[in-house]
Amino acid sequence: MGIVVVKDLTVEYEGVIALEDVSLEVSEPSFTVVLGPNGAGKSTLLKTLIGFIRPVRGIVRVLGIDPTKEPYRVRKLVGYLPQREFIERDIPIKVRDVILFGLLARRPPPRVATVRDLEKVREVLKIVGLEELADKRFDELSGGQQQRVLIARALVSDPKLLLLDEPLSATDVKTQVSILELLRELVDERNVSVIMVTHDVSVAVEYSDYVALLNRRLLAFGKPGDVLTPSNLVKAYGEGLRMFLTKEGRVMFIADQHICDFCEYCRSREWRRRRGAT
Amino acid sequence: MLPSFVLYALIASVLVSFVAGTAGVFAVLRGVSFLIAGAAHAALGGATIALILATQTGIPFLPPIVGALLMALAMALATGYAGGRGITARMETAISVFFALSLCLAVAAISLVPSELMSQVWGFLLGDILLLTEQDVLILTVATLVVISLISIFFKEFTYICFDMEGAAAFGMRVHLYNYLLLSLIATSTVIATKAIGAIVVYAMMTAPAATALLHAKSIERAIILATALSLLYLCTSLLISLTLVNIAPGALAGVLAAVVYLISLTIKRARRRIRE
Ligand SMILES: Nc1ncnc2c1ncn2[C@@H]1O[C@H](COP(=O)(O)OP(=O)(O)OP(=O)(O)O)[C@@H](O)[C@H]1O
Ligand SMILES: [Mg+2]
Repeated sequence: MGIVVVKDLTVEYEGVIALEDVSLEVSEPSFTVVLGPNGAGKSTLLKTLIGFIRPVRGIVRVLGIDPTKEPYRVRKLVGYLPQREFIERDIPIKVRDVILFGLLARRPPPRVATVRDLEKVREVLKIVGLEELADKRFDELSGGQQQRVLIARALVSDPKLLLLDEPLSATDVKTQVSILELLRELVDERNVSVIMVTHDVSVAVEYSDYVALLNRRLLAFGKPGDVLTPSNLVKAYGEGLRMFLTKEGRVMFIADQHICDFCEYCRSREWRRRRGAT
Repeated sequence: MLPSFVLYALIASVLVSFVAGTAGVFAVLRGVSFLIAGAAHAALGGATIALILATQTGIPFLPPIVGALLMALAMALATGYAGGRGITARMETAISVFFALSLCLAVAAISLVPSELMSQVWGFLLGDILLLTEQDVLILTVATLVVISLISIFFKEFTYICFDMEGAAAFGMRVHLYNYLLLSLIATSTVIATKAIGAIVVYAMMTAPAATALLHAKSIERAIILATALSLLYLCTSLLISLTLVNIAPGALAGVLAAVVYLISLTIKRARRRIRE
């Protein structure tokens, strides 16, 4: 049974195509990164997986369930982190209650928290490094801290599949590394599958098992090394960008016309050679 | 012993304070405080139409308050429908349209009302907290109990959809159902309060104490308690003034008090924050 199966998926918004003929499959627990430019349909893909959007064509199965038919069953099993847009900041609600939300919303009413639930909340807060903030108001945290709380909320129900839409936005580098390492650990040790949207190519290179490169169509899907080729990236992001690997193995993008004497790219041999050639 | 109209006015003040505290806080949190103004005018139109139907066509059992409730609920449902997945801007537009529509209906209906019934229309417009009958008080009590119990039962659900509608939906909650329910309860509360303090003042009375409380409270529960206490204070003070000092509409006075206290506490809060920074 596939964890996520998508076949010939086409999604439209009021007649405008957002995804076209997308097919991909995640069959064993793994870490998949979805990359693509703004408006590529990344969020649309995740929303289709949890049944927020009905596709016009194609087959979708999540943990063996069809989200167009049984959205509520899928949603109770999947941990989803929406892209930050709709969260109302001005509501007096404590961090602890935001995370309990992730547990209680999945149950039928009356949604009463047990001692075990509170323990679980403490556990995930520790994972995201915010255990002292449990009693703080959510709207009094910094943007990055809020994001960590929302990640904890997605983790708290121990889902076997995590769909994360730009979870790293607004977080500092240290937090990003700790979140990514946590996700990697969940995949490797607890058989969780992660599908994560990000704009950071180096995350894909360093942490993912698979990369889906999206720009309305699925341009490439596979191991990061096979997908993140210059020609694929041009297909996704267009001309005018170059990709290079730094000494540490991080992937960076740089504007095509860029010339300087300082950055690694300009000092690299390949660039000197090109400069000599022109 | 108090005269019964004073007793009824006191009971109504307590009831209005409870709905203004609970539904008011949730209306502000949900970003639909304007729904209160809309529902109040829908209630006015509904009550007037019911009045005309009952007297002109002889449809027997349609008291004005039922007409008011039906129109206000229709407005709440339309708002929920137009808002779709919790998008506040779209709800605002829908509320504005229905606000305009129900105001026009109200005006049209009022122009048809025979002059001997105009006092009842004025009652809904300005409130008749000092003219309530035993039956009115009974209806208001039952409606308030229904509103308060449903809001307590679904407190978590309402909190979640106010905080993050998309997240709540993503965890498998039937958010549309709870959204419609919450909007309906806000509309019902508005009708209850309108009966007592009038369609014009109800907006101030239901949003200002809630907004004041939310400036200071650390949790939604506390905001509700504070808003309820503030409303009760404003209403009782106004009743007292209108019964002993000047013969002024108590609802209007309470509305003015509520707005003034809100402005003062907003200023204090801003000033304090500036000092801290
Ligand atoms: N609710 C909507 N109604 C109409 N069009 C929409 C809606 N949501 C998204 N779209 C359109 O669908 C396309 C894909 O949007 P989507 O949000 O999936 O992009 P994305 O890859 O997540 O972009 P970003 O990196 O900016 O988050 C865009 O062209 C967008 O304008
Ligand atoms: Mg997106």
